[in-house]
Amino acid sequence: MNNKQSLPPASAWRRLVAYSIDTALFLFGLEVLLFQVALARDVTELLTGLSSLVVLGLLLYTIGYMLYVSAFTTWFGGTIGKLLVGVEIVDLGGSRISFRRAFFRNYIGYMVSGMFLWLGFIWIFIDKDRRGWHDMVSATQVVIKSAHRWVLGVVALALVITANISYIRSIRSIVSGNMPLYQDVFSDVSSELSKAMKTK
Amino acid sequence: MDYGAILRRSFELTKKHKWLWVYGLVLAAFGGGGFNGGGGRGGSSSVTSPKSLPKDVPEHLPEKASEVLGKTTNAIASWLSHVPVTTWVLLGLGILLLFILLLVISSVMRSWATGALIAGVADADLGKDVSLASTTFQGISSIWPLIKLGIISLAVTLGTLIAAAALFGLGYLVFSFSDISKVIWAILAGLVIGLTALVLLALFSITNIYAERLIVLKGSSSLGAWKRGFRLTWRHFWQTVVMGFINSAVGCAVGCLSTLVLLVLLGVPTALLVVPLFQGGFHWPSISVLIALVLILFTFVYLSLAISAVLIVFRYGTWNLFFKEIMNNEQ
Repeated sequence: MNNKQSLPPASAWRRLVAYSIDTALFLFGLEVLLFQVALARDVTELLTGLSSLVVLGLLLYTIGYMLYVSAFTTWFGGTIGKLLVGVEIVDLGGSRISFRRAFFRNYIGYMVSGMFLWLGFIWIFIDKDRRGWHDMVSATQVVIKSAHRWVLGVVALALVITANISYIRSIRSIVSGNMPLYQDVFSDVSSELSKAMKTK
Repeated sequence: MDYGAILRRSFELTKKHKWLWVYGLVLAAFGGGGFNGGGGRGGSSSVTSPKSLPKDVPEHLPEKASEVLGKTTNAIASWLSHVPVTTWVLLGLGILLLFILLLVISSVMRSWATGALIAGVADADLGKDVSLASTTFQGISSIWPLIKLGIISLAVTLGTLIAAAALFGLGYLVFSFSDISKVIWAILAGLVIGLTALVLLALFSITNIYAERLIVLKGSSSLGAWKRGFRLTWRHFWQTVVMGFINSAVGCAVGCLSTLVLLVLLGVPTALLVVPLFQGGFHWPSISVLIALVLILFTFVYLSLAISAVLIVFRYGTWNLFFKEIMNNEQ
């Protein structure tokens, strides 16, 4: 019998910490891209940066993130957040799941859970096995692999949140420094608009 | 065929096995409510529209707007020309990839929910306990066959439409030696070919109902299920149409009633909040009014979704039970 079959289910709070770490890391990635846009010194760089933000940030980053989540779940049993808090996604027999099942769980399953006021996620608090709807539809469970690692998870969460806040502050100060550029762009557009309105 | 008994039994199953409503939610959100003929979608928005436009609309607005847009477009065009070509190529590829991914995910979700719901209702009818966990694998195993069925159905439908158009066109060319013959062909052929095409399309639509259940409950292949489904449709056409009308009537009745109730319950507070905004000229709402309007909108959307979900489960239950009766008669 696989040892993981007898592992206790992860509590909703532990999973919430894991999810928060993953979200904070995801946002950090987007902030790095936003930082590149903020560094623009003229209109051309600004527009190039914005178009790169759309391409890299909204498209490739999002798609890459989807693949990372499924791949990590297959190879290591969970995303970085889950590994840091000491939990693992396994099937009902206690084994790691395949990439297809992980993709199904993380996208189809998450959509099902989030579809009606996130009731499928809230279900984790109610269910005796601490399974959400995404766990039920993919026949998976989240178990505690390391009971005391939640401390590391909380510390990691604090660090990631702090990193996010300081990065956002840096972006904000750079943006404040570049305000003359943005004001120039805004006034260019406004003056063209008002010229056109005055013509008639 | 005891339609009343089918409806009653479907109602019991829908009421008792609430886990199936989750699949109903997925189908309500992603389409795939089945042969329903309307109803059960919650109806129109509950926000009332203003009684009259604001009086201070500038003169020559269309001309000024096009000139302004023209000048702005020139400025934007010159900016855009500085963006590297590779960025545009990557952007195009990324949008295409995202679109394909979303299409695949929504097809997979629809097929999975359809398969799981059909299997779940069948298990519920046999007295088994039904849950997400007990039905999901049946849904997963039906994903690819149901997607193939959708492709077959689409191909047949398109083929029929193209064939009808080609036949009409060919006949028009053949009879183009005189104006009178052209007109006669256009009228007669239009009626005959048009009606035939409509009847065939209706048959194909009904065929899917049988085909889906043959795939999920009998393990048929996609093409085999479609062929057999077509034969069943042909043999039991009127019974199936009657069942469809009854199903739609129930769906419409419940849908209309629920829409009416929602309109009253949510429309009245919306009107009370929105109408004062237009008194004495339009003015923007306060934060609290905006929050209230957003909450009302979300309440409307989610309640409509929930009602649609339950109706979808009921419809699937009805079709499942009807299918069971037809298969029993066939045997």
